[in-house]
Amino acid sequence: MLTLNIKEELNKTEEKTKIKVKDLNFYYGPKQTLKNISMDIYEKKVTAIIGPSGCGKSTFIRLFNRMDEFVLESKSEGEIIIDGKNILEKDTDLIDLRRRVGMVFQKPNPFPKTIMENIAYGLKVNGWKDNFQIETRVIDSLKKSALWEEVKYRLKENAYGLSGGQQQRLCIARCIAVRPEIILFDEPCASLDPISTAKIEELIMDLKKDYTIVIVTHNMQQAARISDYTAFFLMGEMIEYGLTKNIFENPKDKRTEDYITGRFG
Amino acid sequence: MYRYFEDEIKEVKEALLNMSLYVEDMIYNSVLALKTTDTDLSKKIIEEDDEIDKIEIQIDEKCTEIIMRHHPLARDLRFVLATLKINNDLERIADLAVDIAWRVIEISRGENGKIAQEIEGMGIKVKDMLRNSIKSLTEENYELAKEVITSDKEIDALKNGIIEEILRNTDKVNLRKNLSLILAVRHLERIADHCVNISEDVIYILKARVVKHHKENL
Repeated sequence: MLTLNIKEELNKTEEKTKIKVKDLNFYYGPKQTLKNISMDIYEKKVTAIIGPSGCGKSTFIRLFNRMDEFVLESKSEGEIIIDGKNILEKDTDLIDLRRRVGMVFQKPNPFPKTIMENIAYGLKVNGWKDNFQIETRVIDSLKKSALWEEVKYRLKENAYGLSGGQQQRLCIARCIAVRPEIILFDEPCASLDPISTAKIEELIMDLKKDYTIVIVTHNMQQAARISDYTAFFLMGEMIEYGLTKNIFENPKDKRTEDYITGRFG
Repeated sequence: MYRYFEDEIKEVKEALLNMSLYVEDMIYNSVLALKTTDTDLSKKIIEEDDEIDKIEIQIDEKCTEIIMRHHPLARDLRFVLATLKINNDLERIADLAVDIAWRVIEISRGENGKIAQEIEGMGIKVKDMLRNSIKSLTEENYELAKEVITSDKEIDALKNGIIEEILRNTDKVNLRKNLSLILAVRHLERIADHCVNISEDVIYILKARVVKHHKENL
């Protein structure tokens, strides 16, 4: 089996596993959308998930903070172990899990509130009361998400007044304000222009110093540019997973090669 | 993303610069070894070649990675393409310095007198050509690249002069040794040709002009 080869290859590196996925299956009603997926996602690395539409990549990362809860008649089997605990178990504290595993979506989704309130929101939900502490954390998050210089005099303005790219960085700031350990990006640049995309990509490269990052992207060049590891999904199966350099330079599976060279279908 | 891309380009430039400094030393040491028939120094040069081969592969791999990750365009594309070729030229120059070192081992003893001094002079000129060709890259200096290309004529003339002189003084007794000297001069002249190639690639990077085989485009 191919996965064995890949595992051997991965074992050579000395990465620390942050998320361990074991024999994961997922069903929407009768339809199985994820088939027997096992992979290790490494701490403080960027892992990209690529594959054609409907291959299960978004479904896959949404399980990491249990967003599947919102889908009726869905069922998961297998394990997703984050720091030693299987988060698919019933007793998982979902509020805490979603603090630890933040998410940034395809379309920027700020709250219809001020820039300040957007970022302070997660802190308040987590019980923060001291305004000075909240403000300090808001400023820090804005700086880390490379937005501070653009909004420092506009903190009391509505977040909807920001450009698309700025809104997306605001969402990243909101996400990192609660100090997550893992950030999931679901096509974060899909609705952005090339300059905003470059800014977000640069930001992701900066963020990986502190966070474990998983990014779903349709854009293969983006995966090649920013990720350390890449997994290729096809019809619910993980076809190939390995160092980005190896996947893009010398993929082992013909299906991976066909997809990344645009010869698919 | 651009910041990270710039860093990677810079990294490649620095690696090329370091490699060229290393190769420059190899050229100089080879003509020095020839002048003093120093076989120990020659052996050292021959061993150093392994190091150059390793750096060559590293630079190739880095360029492949840049193409894979960043899909460079325009000037960046020209830079990566030209770097692959410059890398190859530097490695070939190192091989030629090694060839000169082998000629020294063939000669192995005895003084080479005035001729060796002339070869040393030529060697220093060739070494400077290499330095200037790489300098034209790091400083993005078109005029300097042009200068390297035009100075090749001078090296060719020097080569012809020195070979003539060796031939004039060749008899049955010193034929073998003089043949090695002629080959050493020929190796130096080839090094100069590679320096010209490097400068042509630098001009390609800077001006997007192909001056190879078309000196009128200079």
